Amino acid sequence: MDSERKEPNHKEEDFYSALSHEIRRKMLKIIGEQGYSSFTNFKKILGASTGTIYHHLEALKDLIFQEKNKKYYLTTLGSHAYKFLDSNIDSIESTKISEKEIKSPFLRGILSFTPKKMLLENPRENILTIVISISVMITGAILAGLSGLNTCILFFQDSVEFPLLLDPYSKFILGLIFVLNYLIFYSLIELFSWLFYKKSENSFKIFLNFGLVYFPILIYLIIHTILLILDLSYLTILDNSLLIFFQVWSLWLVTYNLSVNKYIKIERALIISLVIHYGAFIALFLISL
Amino acid sequence: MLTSFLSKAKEVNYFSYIGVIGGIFVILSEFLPWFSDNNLILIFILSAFDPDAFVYFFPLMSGIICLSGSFLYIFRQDLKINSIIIQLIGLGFNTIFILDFIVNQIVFILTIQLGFYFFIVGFSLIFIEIITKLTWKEEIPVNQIEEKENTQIEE
Repeated sequence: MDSERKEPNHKEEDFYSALSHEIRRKMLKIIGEQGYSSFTNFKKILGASTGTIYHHLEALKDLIFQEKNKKYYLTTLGSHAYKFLDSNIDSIESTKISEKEIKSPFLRGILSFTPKKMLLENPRENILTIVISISVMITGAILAGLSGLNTCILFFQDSVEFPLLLDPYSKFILGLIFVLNYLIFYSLIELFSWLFYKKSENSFKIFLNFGLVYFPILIYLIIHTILLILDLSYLTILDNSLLIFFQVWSLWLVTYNLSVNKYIKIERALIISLVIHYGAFIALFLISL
Repeated sequence: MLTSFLSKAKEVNYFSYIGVIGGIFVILSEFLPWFSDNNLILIFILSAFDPDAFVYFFPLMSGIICLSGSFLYIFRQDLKINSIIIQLIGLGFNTIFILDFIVNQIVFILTIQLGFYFFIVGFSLIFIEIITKLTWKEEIPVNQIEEKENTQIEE
């Protein structure tokens, strides 16, 4: 009776003990990726001694087996362990972001100005996030219309030489373009997360807090409009430099949002942000031509 | 200093040097002719009264920023994300320069000279370096894992 009760625990203990060593995890990945592996192949890829490999093969005895052709294959439990490792690595690594932030004063500085907590919280529990998100979208649309800016994801271009003299209808259209870009940006993020990494978690949560990603852009639009009203638009270098800074800040927020809410490794999330950002740049370049 | 740099440089993936070369190309483009026989410095001097003239310095600024980002990664590989963000700021200046300057000068496409090519190649190399840094899988060699374990046991 007592041994029956202990057996499943032993199995669990053996399973996690087998996965507890980096070399053993690598061996499982090698067989998982290639279908099988020979002893020489392990030696070649891992660069470890014969004794070390034998030691780890012994520890993996429940997860792998050797066929008559001397090659090693995964057992059913081994296949399960490989899938377990493969699907969890992103979720595990996405949590590292908070540790990196603490180490980096640069990123900590940028994020300290942002309501970062709201990206982590469930917006349905915190109505303030939704209110801020909608306010950012509406204010951004009004400011883009007022300052006569054509939006292309995170890029802006003057639509006319004297934006303050624009008629209300054109201003409304420019505001609408801003909202449209907001929605396109969100849709592209969802699309690329699914296409590249098959991640579709927390889509609605990201939609509800997506306005926070545009928060830096809103600050840029406020400064740009003030410069325009005060007739200081000749400060092009300041305006351009600010746009670059706020674009990078926004991109960082998109990356962070993807990483914490879709459990994507920060590097992978950054690839999605970059593809969208430079895709928008190419689109704007072609339109400008 | 040189020995320290060389020993650090040996540990880094060779792809990191693509960004260094890219940064140098972008800096050099500032001093080379673009659409006419004038380089960007000369164009800046000729249009000193134009408030937008500072835009002509963007390739130089961008090259220096991207170069700093590449060197940061060579010296401190743990600051990979920071170095990418610095390079993104650098490339941001390039994108603004392309949208503000190149688009207006595109009518002179047939008279393109060396500076333009250096700029485009430099921009592409920096972008390739960023993508490579993000996609490169850093595998820890087994002997390092064993060393780490031995140290932990000793502790």
